[in-house]
This record gives sequence, structure tokens and C-alpha cells, in this order.
Amino acid sequence: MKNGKNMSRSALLGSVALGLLCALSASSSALATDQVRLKVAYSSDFVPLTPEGGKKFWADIIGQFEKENPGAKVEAITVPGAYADVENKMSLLFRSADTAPDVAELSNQDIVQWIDSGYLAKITDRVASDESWKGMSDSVKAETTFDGQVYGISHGENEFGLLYDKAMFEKAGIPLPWRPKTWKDVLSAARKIKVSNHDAWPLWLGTGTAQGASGAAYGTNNLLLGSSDPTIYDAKQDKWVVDSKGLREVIDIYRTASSEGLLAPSSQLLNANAIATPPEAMAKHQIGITLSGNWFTLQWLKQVSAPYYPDAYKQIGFAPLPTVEGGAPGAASTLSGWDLAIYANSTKKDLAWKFVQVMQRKENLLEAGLLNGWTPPVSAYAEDKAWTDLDPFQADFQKLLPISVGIPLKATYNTWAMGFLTATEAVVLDPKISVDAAIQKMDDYVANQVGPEEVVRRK
Amino acid sequence: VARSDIVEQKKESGPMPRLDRRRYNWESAVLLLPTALLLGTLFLLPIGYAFYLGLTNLQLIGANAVHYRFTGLVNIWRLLRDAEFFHSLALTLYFVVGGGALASTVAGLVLAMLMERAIPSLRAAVGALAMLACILPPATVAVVWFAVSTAGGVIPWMLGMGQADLLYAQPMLVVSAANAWSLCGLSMLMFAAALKNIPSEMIEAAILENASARQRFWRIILPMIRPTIMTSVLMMTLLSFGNFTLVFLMTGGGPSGQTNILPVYSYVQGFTFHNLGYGALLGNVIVVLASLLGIAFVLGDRLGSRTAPAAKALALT
Repeated sequence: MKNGKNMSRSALLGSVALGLLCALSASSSALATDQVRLKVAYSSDFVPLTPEGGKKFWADIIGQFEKENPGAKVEAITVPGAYADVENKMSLLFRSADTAPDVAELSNQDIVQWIDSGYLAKITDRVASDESWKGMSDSVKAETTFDGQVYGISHGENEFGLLYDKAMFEKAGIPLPWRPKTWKDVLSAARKIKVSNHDAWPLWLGTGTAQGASGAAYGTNNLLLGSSDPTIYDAKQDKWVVDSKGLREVIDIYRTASSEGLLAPSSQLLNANAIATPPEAMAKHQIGITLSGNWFTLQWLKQVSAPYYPDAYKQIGFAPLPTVEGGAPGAASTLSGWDLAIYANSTKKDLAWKFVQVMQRKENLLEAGLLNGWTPPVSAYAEDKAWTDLDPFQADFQKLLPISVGIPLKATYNTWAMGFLTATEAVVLDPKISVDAAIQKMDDYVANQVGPEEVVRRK
Repeated sequence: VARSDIVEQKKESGPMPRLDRRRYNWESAVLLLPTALLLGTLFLLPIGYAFYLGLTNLQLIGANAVHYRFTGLVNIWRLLRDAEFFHSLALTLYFVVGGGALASTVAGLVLAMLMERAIPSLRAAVGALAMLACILPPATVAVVWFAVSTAGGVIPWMLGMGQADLLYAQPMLVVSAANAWSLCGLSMLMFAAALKNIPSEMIEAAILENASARQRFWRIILPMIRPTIMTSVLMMTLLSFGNFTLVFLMTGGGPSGQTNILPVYSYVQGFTFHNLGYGALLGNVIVVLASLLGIAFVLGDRLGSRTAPAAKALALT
């Protein structure tokens, strides 16, 4: 019975090993109970301009916090992937109290859904005495305020403007500096670029359903805000706007640009990762004019290097996105940002707030701005020379902050956004589709999802 | 199988049970238990739970994320009035039956027949390439096809379309082709084996009888590989039904919903609009459809082989 002997010996060894393991894990869990563990969840790919920058930023923050709170240990939950992946993973984490993070980094674009879920703690009293909150503009505060209560605090904002390639403009005979007054000016510049720069993509205006609802805030909504009727949600009637002069103007500019071949190829413009393309393509002089988030230019800095573009300020120009016919306020931009929120059922809310306060310090907000591509949410920090010297474009972007507008805080916003993207995408793909037909697509799409009684047509 | 063996065995162990009745051996229940447990807990239970979720107002995030409830037939009514659902259903049938079952089976058969004539080294090379296409993960297939079908890619170039974005001009056609491409290697392998099993005497006899190539194909080859065709069609159908990754990565259901097949629509409802309950219901439709299609193919095969006993008899020899 040689085998039998061997068996019993290995069984004995196995059980000893198991016992040891149990003892070890027991002692390690005993160690762990001495420390309070704070779970912090954040995006590791989408939000940081580079994954390395993200790692550095969070390591800095966590280091500072743990040093100041010796009994506390931060358990970092990194959430990989693009916008939709971050959103989905976060929502799955929150489904169970065991996995829910105490502090989470959430996009303001669906903060209302998080609030509706009952996942977020009210921090109205806490922010009242917070220095960073006091320094924020009303539009930034409004992003996380719902029914008079505050559920999150911004740690970075994005605005949008136009970037253009100076060399292409010179070749096309357009005088510099370029300051378009209306959308027609933008289109006519793009036409001239098309004639003189054959291989370039004259105009980049983001749209496309593949990148999810975030594509609206990063693209189409900017134009809508500059149109004759920027209303997304009719608050008086409590309905989504699916037909208006503004929506028609936006669809029309996409349609015109597409029919004249002014836009980038559909496979570039409409794919799921399209938002990452313009900063790289601008650096390679592939794009004439692009609608640009303020992070595009931050990406070119040596400290970020994605890609490093040392001559950016010499070769690329900035202009605010004009309104459709040059009406007040003369420029339009969406406001989108990322907020910090505390889990409603967290047993460590005080500690979680301490962590948030570390993040909201001036030097950390500036670091977040640099590595994540944001405007610091506190107006004074954004105007600070240390910040504007870093990247000269930022001063231009920050001037847009007072006129920048966020999205309506309504749970079905995603559906409206996807409807708007569907309509603009349709005319980009096939400019033979009329504006009427595209509006009808949007109407059908939104009404089909949220119900026909929830939409309104404004003529 | 030798029936006399069974009879002899039974003679040894007591009275003969009647062979014309179905018999149950209850001890076998114990042997089936592990499988039953596995299937029950990992397959039936989750599906049952998904059917339940399909009738709730559960959300991923939103007011009903935590406090959801059973809403009866509300979701089903919504499904029946959902125009996008019917559009998606039509696209799914096109993708699964057209791009999956038919295109990949036909492509597999054609490849297998061409390879029969090819010189052995070429046959081995093509076979290996087709198999490689078939074992590539869907994510890789998606990237490869995205690259070859968009501006500057090989396909628009071969078609003389230059800088055209074929994927965005004909999205459904391109994703279906990508799906057929990735599956036809498997089908080719099945057909190659089936074709080898056709006795060469029969083909020779047919040639002696002056049968044309077309006649040989329709009258001899096709009837004899019929079971393989059925198996291939069924497999390709079911594999295409599960091919969410390919379409989602290539187009995300777009542009403008033109490739919004049911698995993608179910995902969009659940994870973009956060309606997990309704998304689950759409997923359940896929389960029901796949089961129905599977049953239909098997029944069709049985019915077909009953009406064609000659072919069956040939296949048995």
C-alpha cells in the first residue's frame, strides 16, 4: 500500500499547511482591525490623461491622507476602461454594501441617477464650511446640488472651445488671429482649408452614439448651447425637447459640413474612442479646426506627454465657439466635471470627508487639473498664475467658465442625449437625410424610450 | 448495435423486461445528480432569475436601483410597443440567419470543396488559416475587420472605393461578413470531414453514368452531407447569437442603430439607459429565440431525413 501511505502523508502535510494558513490569515485580519480601512473608487484610465499620471496623482493623495491619519488605511479601487465602463463598474460596486466605496469619483453627467439611487450621502452641512466650495462659481455648485441638497463636490471641470492649425490657416489665406463670429464663419474657414489642404480633415465636431451619452456633452451640446434655442429640458412642462429651432440648427451644421466633405471620416469621428483622436491628430497637423475640451492642450505638456507637443502654443490657435448668428453671449460651452461623493451607508463618513478635504486642497486641485486635464473648480485657483503659466491655452478656456452650462439634472437625460447623437450621426453618415427626417429620428428615439407623453416639440 | 447481446445479458439476470417499453433504471438518478446540480445551479437558476428580473423595474442606477419591485406585465407591454425592439429583432435575424447560419455554412462548404481539389500543401496552409480565423478571440476579429473595412483599409481598396468608410456605409453587411468570416473555418472543417466520408465509388459510378458536376453535387454530395449541413447551421446560428463582442466592438450598435442586434440592445438598455429589468427581458427574448431556433433546426432535420430515407440509407452504408 505504498500509494496509501503517500496519500496519508500528503493529507497530513496539506492539513498542516491549511492550519498555518488559517492562523496566518487570522493574525493578519487581527492586524487589519487596528486600522480603519477607507475604500476609495476612481477611474484609472478614462479620467487621467495618462494612466501613469493617474497612478502618481492618487498615490500622492493617498500618501498625504495616510500620513495625516495614522490609523487609517486607504483601499484604492481602480476602475479601468472608458466612460461607460467606469459608470457601469461603479454602479455594480454600489449594489452591495460590502463592495460600495466610501468615497467615489463620479461624472456630473449622471450624478442625478446616483442621487436617485439613494447611494450618495448629503454633504450640505459639510461643504458649507469648506474653503474650496466657497470659492466655486454657482454653475459649478449647481452640478451637484439637487433639491437644495448637496451630494458631491467638484474636483475638476471641463469647458470647450475651438482649436485651429495656424499653418493651415495661413496656407488657406485666412487672417490670424482667427475669431469666428458665427457658425457660418466656422464653415467658411473649413471650406477654405479643404481647398488648400487636401489631406487634412478641415473640421472636427464630435458626435456618434458609439461613445455613449457622454458624446453629447463633449460634442453636440456645445453647439446647441450656442444655437437660437438651447433648451434641452422644458422645466415648465416637465418634458424633453425633441424638436426646436436650436436642435434643427445643430443638425443642419453637421449636415452641411458632412455634405461638403468638411468632416473627418466617419470611422474616425463616430467610433467609440473618437474623443481621444483630436489631440493626437492636431499635433500631427491632420485637423484644421476642432471642437476641443480644455484637456486637449494639457495633454501636450511635457509633464503629461500624451503626446508631448512643445510648439503647441506657436502652431495652434484658440477661439471660443461662437453662437449661431453671433448673438449674446458670443460664445458657448458645455460644463462637465468630475465630483467626489460619499456613500450614503458608509460607516466612516467623517473619515471619508477628511479624505475629500485632502483632495480639495489648492495644490492637490492644481495637480488634479494637470494630470486629469481639468480646470480647477475654484475660480481663484484657475486664475492663479502658477496654473495659467503652465499651459497658456488654459487662460482662454477659463474665460468660458462663467458662460458654460451643465446638463439638466434629470434621470432620463442619457436617453435624450442618445437621441440627439442619433440624429446628428444620421446626417453625418448620410447628408441626403433632411433635417426634418433627422428631427423625426430623434423624436422617435426619445419618445420610444421615455414615452410619448414625456417629450415636447417647440417650433 | 447487436441486440442479441442485450438479450443474453438480461437472460442471466432474471426475468426479461419488455423491450418495447421505455425502462427506467432508478440508480442512474444518482449518477445524473452531479450533472443535474451543475445544470440546475449554474444554468437553470440564473435563467430563472433573469426571467424574474425581466418582470421587475430594476435599474442599474436610479430611483429603482435598490428598491425595485415585481411589475407584472408592464415590461412586456413596453416590449410590444417598442419600435426599436422590432427593428432590433429584424437585424438579429439578418445577422444570425444570414451572416451566421447561411453565409458561414455556404462559405465553409465552398472552401471545403475547393480544398478537396487543392494540392496538399496548399490545403494544409488554407486550412490552418481558416482555423486561425475561427479561434481568434472576437475582440481581435473586431479590430482586424474594423481596420480592413474603414477608410484606407484593404476591402474598400480592393473594391476600388478608395477612402470610403465601408463599415459606416454598410454596417450590417460588414459585421455580418466579419461574423461569417470568423465562423466559416469551423464549418469548413466539418464539411471537409463529411466530404471525405463520401465513398469515391459512388462519384466514379456517377461519372460513368455521365452525370454532370452539377448533378453530382445536387443528387449525391448534398444529400450525403445533409446531417453535417444541419449540424453546421445549428452551430453557426448559436455561435452567432452569442457574438455580442464582435458587433459591440466594431460599431457599438451604431451608426444610428443600424447594427443594434438584440444582445447589443439588451446591453444598451441595461447599461446605457440603466434599465436592468427591461434589459433582462430583452436577454430573455434571446434565450427563447435561440431555443426555438435550435428546436426548429432539429425538428426540421428529423422531418427532412424522414422524407429522404434514401439519402439516410446511403449515409449509413
